Parts: sequence; C-alpha cells; structure tokens
Amino acid sequence: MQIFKTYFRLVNRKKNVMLIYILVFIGLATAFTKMGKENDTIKKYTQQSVDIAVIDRDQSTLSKALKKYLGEHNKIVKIKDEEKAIKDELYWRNVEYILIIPKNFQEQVEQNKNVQLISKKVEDAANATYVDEEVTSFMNLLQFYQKSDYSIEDAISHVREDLKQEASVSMVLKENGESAEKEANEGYYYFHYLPYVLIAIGILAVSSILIMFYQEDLRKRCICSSMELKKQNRQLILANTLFCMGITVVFIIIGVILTGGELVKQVNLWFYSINAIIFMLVIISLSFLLANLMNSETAINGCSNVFSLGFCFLGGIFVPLSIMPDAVVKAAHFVPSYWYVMANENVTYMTKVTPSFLKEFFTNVGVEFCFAVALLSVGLMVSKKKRVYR
Amino acid sequence: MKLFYYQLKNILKTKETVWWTAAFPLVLGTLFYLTFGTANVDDQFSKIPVGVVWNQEDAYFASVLDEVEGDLFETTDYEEEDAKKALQKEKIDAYIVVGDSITMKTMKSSIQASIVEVFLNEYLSYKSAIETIAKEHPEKLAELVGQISDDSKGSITVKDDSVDMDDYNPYITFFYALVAMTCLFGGFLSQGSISELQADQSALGARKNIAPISKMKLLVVDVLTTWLVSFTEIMIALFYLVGILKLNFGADLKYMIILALAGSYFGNSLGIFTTIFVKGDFGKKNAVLLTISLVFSFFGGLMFANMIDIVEHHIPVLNRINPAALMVHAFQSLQIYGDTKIFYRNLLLLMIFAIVMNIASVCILRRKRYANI
Repeated sequence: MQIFKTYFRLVNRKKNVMLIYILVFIGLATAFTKMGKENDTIKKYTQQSVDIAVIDRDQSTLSKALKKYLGEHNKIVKIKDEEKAIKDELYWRNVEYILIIPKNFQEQVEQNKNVQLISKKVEDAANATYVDEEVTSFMNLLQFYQKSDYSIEDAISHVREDLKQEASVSMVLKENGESAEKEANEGYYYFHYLPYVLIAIGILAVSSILIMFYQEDLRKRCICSSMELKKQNRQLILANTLFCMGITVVFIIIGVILTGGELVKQVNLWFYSINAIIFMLVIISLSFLLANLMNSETAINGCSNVFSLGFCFLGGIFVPLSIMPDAVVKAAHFVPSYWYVMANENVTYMTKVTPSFLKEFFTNVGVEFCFAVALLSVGLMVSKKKRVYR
Repeated sequence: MKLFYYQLKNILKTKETVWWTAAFPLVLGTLFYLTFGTANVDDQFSKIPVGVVWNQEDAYFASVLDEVEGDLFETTDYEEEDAKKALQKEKIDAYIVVGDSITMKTMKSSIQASIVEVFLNEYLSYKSAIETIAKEHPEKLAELVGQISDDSKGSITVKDDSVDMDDYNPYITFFYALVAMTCLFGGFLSQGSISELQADQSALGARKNIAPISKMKLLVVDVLTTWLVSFTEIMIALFYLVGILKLNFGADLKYMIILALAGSYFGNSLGIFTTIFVKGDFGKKNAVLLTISLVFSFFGGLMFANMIDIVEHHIPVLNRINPAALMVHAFQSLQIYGDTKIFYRNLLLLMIFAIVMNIASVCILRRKRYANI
C-alpha cells in the first residue's frame, strides 16, 4: 500500500494549502446558505412593501391621494427632486421605485388629456414592477369616475372603496389530505449550494496531489516499476476516495451545525448525505481524469473554476432552471449537478419516506453514480494510454 | 527593450497559464449566455391554466374572461367536484368559483395563483366602480363598459424610464462580475513571473538575482509584460461578450478599454503582492490568490446577482474596498447615470489600491537578501 501511504504523506505536506481551501470554502458555503435564504424566489406576485419615493410636482388633491394610496402598501422614502438625487437614490438602492407625478397632473386628468407618469426602478427588484400595477389600477378606476362627471374628491373616495374589493382565496388540500404548500427543509439551502464547494475543493485538493504523482520523471519511473498499473491506480483511487469522503463528511457536519443541529433529528439528513457523497464520487472521478490530462497546477486551478462555476450555473444551482431556455435545460441533463439538484429537491420537500420518494431519489442519485463510473473509466483509459510515450 | 521582448516570450510560453486565463472568461461567458443571456425584463409567463365553475351566470365576468383567454389564461369550465380533482392533479393552477361572489381556490401560493388573485381583485374593483356609477350616473355607463377591456388605451399611462438602454438584461451583472473576476485572475500571470524573480522560489530566480541587471528593471519589465498580456486577454473577453454574443454592456468601447486597463493593472498588482507576502511554496501562493479572488468575486455578485445590493444594506464599506464590486459598480454607473463620475472614481480607487500594493511589494523585494536558500 505504498502509494496509498505516500498519498497521505503528500496531503500532510500540503496541509497548509488544504486548510486554506477548506476554511475559505466553509466560509463561502456559510455565505451561500445565508444568501440563498434571502434570495428565495418570489412566491407571490403581490409582494411585500417596497421602498419607494414619490416626487409630487403637482401637489394637488389627486397627486396626494395617489401618494397616500401607494404609501399604504409600501414604505415611502423622502428624496430630493433633483435629477442627480434621483439617480443616486436608485443607484445606492435607498429606494427601489420612484414615481414622478408631473406638474398640472390633476388639471390634465380633469380635462381628459393624455397624461404620463414616469416611473424609475432598480433593475433586479422584481417587487418594484408591482408598484406600476398599483398606480395603473388606481388611475384607471379614477378615470372611470372622472369621465362620469364625478368631482375629483368624490372619485378618489370611491376609488379607495373599490380597491378594497378582494376575492377570497381558499386553499385546497391534496388528494391524500396533506397540504400542497411546500415547506423547504432547513437543510435545503446549504445542501443546494454545496456542489459548488465540493467541486472546487475536490478538483483543487485531489488534482494538486495527483499532479505530483504524475510529474513526468516520477510517472515514468512508476510505469516502469514492478507494480502493475492496475494496482497503482487502485491505490491512488482508494486514497483519493478516502480523502474526499473525509472532506465531504466535514462539510456535512458543518451543514448540520449551520442549521442549528435541527437536521440531526430528521431522516432527511441521511438522504442529503447520500446525495452529497455520491456527488463527491463524481468529482473524484472527474479530478482523476483531469489530473491525467493536465500538466500543471495553474491548469488545474483553471479547470476547478471552470467546472465548479460551469456545472453550478448550468445545473441550476445559482440560477433557477425555470429561467433557462428549454434547449439549455435539456443540455443540463448531461451535467451531474443537475441530477444532484433534482435529488436535493426530492429530499427537501420530503416529510415521510415513501416508496415513490425512494424511487425518485435513487433514480436521480443513480444517474450521478453513472456519471462517476463513466468518468472513472475514461480516466483509467487515459492513464493507460499515457503509459506509452512516443 | 530586449528584456521586454524576452520576458513577453517567456510568459506566452507558459501556455497553460495564458490559455486558461484567456479561455476561462470565454468559456464561462458562453455558459452564462446560454443559461440567461437571452432573458429580458419582459419575460412573459406562459399561459396559466385556470378552471372556472359557473354556479351562476355572470355575463360581465364571462366577457372579461374572454378577453384574457389565450393571452393570460387558458380557461376550462368545470363542475365544482371536477375542478377540485383537476386542481389536485395539477392540470390547473387554480379555479374560480362564480357565484354570489367570486372566489378562488388553489393548492399552493405560487406566482401563477397570485396572478389569478390579482386579476380577480382588479376585476372586482372595476366591477364595484361600475356598479357605483350605474347607481349614481347610469347615463355614462355604456361608454365605460367598453373601456374595461380596453384599458391599454387609457390616457393615463406610466412610463418606465428606468434604464437608458433597450433590451436590458436583468442578469447582466453576472457578466460584469465575470469581467471583474477575469481582471483579478490576471494575477496568476504575474504570480508566475514574479516567483521567477524570487531566489527562493526557483533556480531561475536565483540566477536572476545575481545577474548584473538592476532588480528594478526586471520588476518593471515583469509588470509591463504581464499587464500587457492580461489586458489583451480582458479585451478579447470583452470583445467576445459584446461583439460576438452581442450583450449590451451599456458602455462605449472607450470606457471598456479604460476599465480593462485599470482592472488588469489591479489584478497584476494583487498577484505580485500575494506572491511576495505569502511565505511558502508556489502552491500556497496560488491558493491564496485563488481564494482571495473568489471571495472578492463572490461579494461582487458572481454567484448571486443582488449580492452587491445586500452588501450595500449591511456592510456598505465592503463595497468601497472590494475591487470586484468597484468594477461592477463602475459598469453599472454607466448604465444608470450615463455619466462617468462614479466610473472614474471607482477606477481611481482601484488604481490607488494597486499602487499601494506595488509600493509595499517593491519595498520588500528590494531588501531581499538571502543568507541561504
């Protein structure tokens, strides 16, 4: 087991570097978990209050009423009526939405002229688009009354009454009597973003050790040795696997700690862990292949970044699959992180272990495992090819 | 000059480093483009399948539904029991019960269900308005009924004047962060060349140190050559993103060049700084540069689009010193402001940081005397 022992001696030698990677990526994983929670996709179109500013250049009954109405659903922030201030407040995101009511607004409405209100919003504040809807509803209703010869004050009070009308919504349970409202498990966010960390560390850590084994002279000597290549590879892969499993376990424990220990009481933890471990197998095979193909540490760094970011974006980890074009989602099926995400979703919404859950979960995990096997075979083939130097 | 030429050749010969610092933004840029490069603000929801249970006739509601049929909703009429089953089987996202009042049933609070809810609330508001007018001013009613389904032609409109660009892509910040990361990764090139200047890192370094040439000259040549190479790589990346993938960065060529210059210089300085200050073997220096760049890029919004926003609300000072955030902000300022004050301010800050690091590095490098290696 010489190669096996040497592997770990090398790990020991490089422990400073390993420690840097592990600590930084633990930090990143923690940050991802916090960010993921904050970033959760909008569940409702009617969203919570938005920080808005209303620049009322008209100061009429109508404009004040509109401002008051918007203020009931959102938080109004005071800003200066200067072009620079407007841009500044949006840029620094003190407000997400600004409505500019032009001068003579009420007068023009009363005279049935075309009036234009101007809105400015911060690009990625999806909630802010709803404020446009609120303004349009209010003004459209107001127009009805105004065109029916109501005074502005009467119109305003009627409009406010009308806008209070709401359809009652009731929830229907699923066939089995359970609620269809999906509650994401605590562990969801952490384990959802874990692949990025696993891929990055896996490739960096493993390949940097393997690269040392594959230095030209050393490799040639190993190939000429009496130990058959099969045995050498076997020991290398075993050592790799053990090392990476160790890293995976560390990250699973971190995950448990981050969720405040809640996960320990749940059976979901086991499934999260199985998913993570199988995914790590994929990474081990991938890094084995990469180490055989690449020649230097910087190339490995490059690969680690390309694969970690690439797989995570394509697999729908940083960006939800729902916004990707269909063709890309189909392509994502060829990426192991996609299957990891599917399996993760299964686990997250699972409250009871049922045969259907097991079937879905193990199908997804099975595909990941196939990736691992496939990549490993290619890696072994490459290593065999490299035995012959021309 | 000869030095410059040879050092340039030297760098370009380390194919792997040059290759992946150049190819990496192209590969990732392409990937980003495929996943969300063609998205835009007006992403339409696909038609929402909705069921309708008519417990009572309601001509007005029927006509309103007709208007949105095929655009917003795809409606199917059901009996109450069948509607419930269809909902549970997820054939429809929600169903509307038309009776004395209009109610809605759904299984989960999804975006689709919320849209149906908003639609119903709006309908009810309009209905209430019409009923009020019918009671108080029935003579104006006929005109108005026509207006309900035609409210897009209302004379009061809200114009969205947010961004100065057409076809704005809300995911563009990912690309900005990618360019920022590319600038930071230019540091790997300088790491390579500076460690060749250090006697304790390589035999070549040892030879260079005892050569009769002033170390300052060697250093300047190193800086210039790596700057040139990483600047070229960034320009290639920008050309690819803007020219070939046709992304709208909202900035002219002039500004992109300036940003590339400043960004690559900073990345360069960062590489030199980490090489000199981190004690240990080359792998360790690499690790430090990689992790620092990743952390900067993360806080600059590479993985989460609204990261900068969140940082701004919690730790704004971080956005002022994070080089990736400075670069992304610089890009964004061109978009929102259209003028260049913040753009230049951020880049100036970037250069100041870079120069401070340079001074620190030079001080250390100059004094390096090795008793033994």
